[in-house]
Amino acid sequence: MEQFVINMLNGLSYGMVLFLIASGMSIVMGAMNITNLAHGVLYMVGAYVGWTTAVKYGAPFVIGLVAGGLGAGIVGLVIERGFLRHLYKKPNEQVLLTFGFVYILTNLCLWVWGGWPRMPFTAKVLAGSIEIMGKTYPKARLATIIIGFVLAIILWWLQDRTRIGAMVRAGMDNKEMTMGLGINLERVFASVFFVASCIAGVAGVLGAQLLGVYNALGLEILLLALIVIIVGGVGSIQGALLGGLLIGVIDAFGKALFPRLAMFTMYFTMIVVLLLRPSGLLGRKA
Amino acid sequence: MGAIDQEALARPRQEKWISVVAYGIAVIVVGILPAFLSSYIQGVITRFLIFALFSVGYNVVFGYLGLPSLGHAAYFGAGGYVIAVLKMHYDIDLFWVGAPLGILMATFIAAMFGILALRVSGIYFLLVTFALGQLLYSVAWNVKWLNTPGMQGIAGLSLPSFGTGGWTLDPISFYYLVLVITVICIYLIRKIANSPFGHALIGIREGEGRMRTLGYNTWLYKYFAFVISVIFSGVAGVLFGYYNYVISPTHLGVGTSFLPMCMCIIGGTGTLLGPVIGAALIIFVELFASIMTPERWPLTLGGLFVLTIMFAREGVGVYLAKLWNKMSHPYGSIKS
Amino acid sequence: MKKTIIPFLAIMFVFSLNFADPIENAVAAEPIKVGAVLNFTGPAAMLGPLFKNGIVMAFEEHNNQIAGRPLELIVEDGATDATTCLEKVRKLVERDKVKIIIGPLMGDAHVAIAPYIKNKKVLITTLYCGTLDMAKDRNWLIYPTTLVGLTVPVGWYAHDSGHRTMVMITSDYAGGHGFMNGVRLGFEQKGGKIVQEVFVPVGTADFGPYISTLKDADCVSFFVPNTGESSRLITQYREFGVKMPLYGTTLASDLPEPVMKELGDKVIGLQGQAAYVWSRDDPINNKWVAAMKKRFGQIPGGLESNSYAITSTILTALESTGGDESFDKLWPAAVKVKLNTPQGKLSYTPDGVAITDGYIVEAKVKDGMYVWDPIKVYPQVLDPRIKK
Repeated sequence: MEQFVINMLNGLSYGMVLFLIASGMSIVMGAMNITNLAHGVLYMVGAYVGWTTAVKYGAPFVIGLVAGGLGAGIVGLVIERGFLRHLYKKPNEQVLLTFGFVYILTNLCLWVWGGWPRMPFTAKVLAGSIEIMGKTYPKARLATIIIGFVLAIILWWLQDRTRIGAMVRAGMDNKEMTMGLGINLERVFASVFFVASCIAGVAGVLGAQLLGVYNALGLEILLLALIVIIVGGVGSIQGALLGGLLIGVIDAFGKALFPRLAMFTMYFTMIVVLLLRPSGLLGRKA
Repeated sequence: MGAIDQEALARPRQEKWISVVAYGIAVIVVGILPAFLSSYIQGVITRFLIFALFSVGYNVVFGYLGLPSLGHAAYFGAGGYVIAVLKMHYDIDLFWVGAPLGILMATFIAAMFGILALRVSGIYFLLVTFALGQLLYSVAWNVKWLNTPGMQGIAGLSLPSFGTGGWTLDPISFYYLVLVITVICIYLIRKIANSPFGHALIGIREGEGRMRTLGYNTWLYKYFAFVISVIFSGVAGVLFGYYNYVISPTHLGVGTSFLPMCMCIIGGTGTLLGPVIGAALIIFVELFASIMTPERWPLTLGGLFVLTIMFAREGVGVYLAKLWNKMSHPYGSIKS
Repeated sequence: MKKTIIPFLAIMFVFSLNFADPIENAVAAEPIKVGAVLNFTGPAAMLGPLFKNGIVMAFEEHNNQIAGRPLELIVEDGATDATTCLEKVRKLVERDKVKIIIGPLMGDAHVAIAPYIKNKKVLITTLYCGTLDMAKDRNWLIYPTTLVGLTVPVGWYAHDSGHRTMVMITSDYAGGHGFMNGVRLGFEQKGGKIVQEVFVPVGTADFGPYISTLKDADCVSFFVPNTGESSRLITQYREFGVKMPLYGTTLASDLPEPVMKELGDKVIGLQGQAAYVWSRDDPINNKWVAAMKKRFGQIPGGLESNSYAITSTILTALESTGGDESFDKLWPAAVKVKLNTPQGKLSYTPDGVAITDGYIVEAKVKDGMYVWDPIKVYPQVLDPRIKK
């Protein structure tokens, strides 16, 4: 029983990080029809900026979270305003451009932060562990679960209950009609992309509590994000949350029960979901 | 009206000698020159030809049909793995056995995966093909039978034998083998693209609903296009297995799947020779950049991608063709 | 189609011109070319420059020339990928015609390269251990010893410290299996028992689920590759409050001083194996550390020490052949080399496996600096499977 609870907590904390990684990418994919392969690299940039703020300059962890989010957000905004803006409805060009940025940003990060991986870091209050059912469990992981849930609720509220969310959803359904209503969709899209990049950055700092930061992270994170999106479905916060938690929990139990099949369990889940629902568990119909 | 007249008048005479010159240079550059270069350069050009073939085949689905597959490496790698398994477990390196089996394996997997992937389109097609490719990747990684002890993947491959007794293949004859196969395959793809079948694919890309209304069984067309495209991936994979001496799970995974996609986009999606130019650009730029600056080559390659998109959006091949047009018809306004 | 073919041909032509072979230099003092395949990109990107420093240092000690012939270093990026490494080795052999390659790091790259390089008459080295199988080919210099030989002392030491049962955490690839088989061999030789071996895939981000499943034993030993995985494993091991003592492998090279500082309390007291320790008080070592610090502005670690010792071996052998780098002359000379390196006395078996000192170290704070302090020396360690 204790073992079950610990595995569950492991899965939920990892799943929350996965959710945050995937949510931004999924929204951009759904709302703007943009395949942003540089999303994983934005996560990495956020994590590195957070590390510089919170570890190198010793600022509080919360400041690190904000800095990481903003850092990734600004890089994302530059990519959107400078380049992607010209490429709406051109999926192939988006793929090549953002893949180019994967190479460029990864190598720039190598230049700025060097190749040595950065250790996992967390807030002072969250360092150390507490007892759960007689087992020691790290506090930072519990905090990740809680922060993840709070962010999920905020994002869901933004998406379903605010005016800007309504504009985005309207744009998803019928672009011309929405523009006809006098809404400046371009500005909406720029803000969506900025927010999505910020979430990637925040996810980077939160994820760094568990994983640290290292240079190959960009592509690894991109693959995880794609898997979560496949399972959860494109374009909704709920889908990313369900996909992230499901993959996280399955991965944790898979590692504990069949350690040598770790990677296979994740991909197997993905295929089963595809067979049953090709557009993901909560995706709009393809 | 004027433009069309001019085109009709100018083309036959002017383009005839141009094409003669062009094919002449082609024969010299890819046909004769490599014989005088070092075996390393031969190797690089062989590699380029293999990826050119892979990309041109991929373009059938990606360019003509307009479906972004992110899993073609699965079939490419499957071809290579068949060669490798035959060599490792059965010590068979006979071309007449390995090549057909490799292509058959790639086709067989595609025939199954195609049914799953073609249930969806657009971005979902990308995600589903990605997922299927990664499944093969994880199988190749985890199954002991598919790995040389001590590494992930199979090492110790060699050039194929032809069962011709004393004569064995050396790198330069292998180069010519690859060249001949690539040219034949590209010619076949050209035939397919120019056939009613090829036109139907473009029709489906532009409006599947319309084609269905016209009475086409669009699903079947897409399915056949997918399988045909994969046959060429299989051919390229088989050649790559012989060329590379090693085949590893990365050759099944998403990293390799990106390559033909990037090559097509850089060169010109949906054109016959665009992917060839894309393959040349990526392979040679990466090679030069990594020789010049071992630490900073990704910047050059990424920069190439970004610059292409910003300045030659339809692909370098299309861009060059337009430039050529402008130069050879300074007063005309012919569109390619 | 016709419109695209001409520009395409033009490009091809320009490329082929650039690719023409470098014209053979007719000058008498032709350089001795030494190829090196190091990682400058990919997950092990940080290691390339360090390995390169060690090579450069050895070159400079010989004034960049042997017997009047200048030394030329050709560095290639292996991108932490076996296929790329093989490609770069092929380039070095076929285009640059090198006879000496200071080889790639990862075990899977060795396996990929070995069949190709076997009959090419090229002397090639590992950068950090290799398997006993490679020694059979007799063209690999395997430094500091085989995978198994390197970690046997960990098994001995754990048993000497009074532990009788052990759990092993093994990275699931050739190198990981090799290192942990060494620990197992040493531990079982003395009568200890392995109660569980947990295999973790390469590139594991979250070790939490594995740590939660460890069985009870007297101690735990581990090998996971590179700084990132080692530091995550140690962090997560401590966070999950596991009380069993932990023994590491390849510690000093995976966790250099700045990394130890970031790990702080979590690393203090950790014991395990290290090939080279910069803080060891020894005249040759002190001199080398000072020279490296002056030249590159940082304290050297196990990686620089490895590439330095390997390069020194090759250069010493070249001196004894009078600058002749042909394989048939160089190989016999190389395995006869005897040197005093910063790591200790160095010699080779006839198959090219290095024999040198192994260390057990403990993480401590000394004079405000985090150091791996050598607490036990196992002199002249040899893979127990090699008969003397």
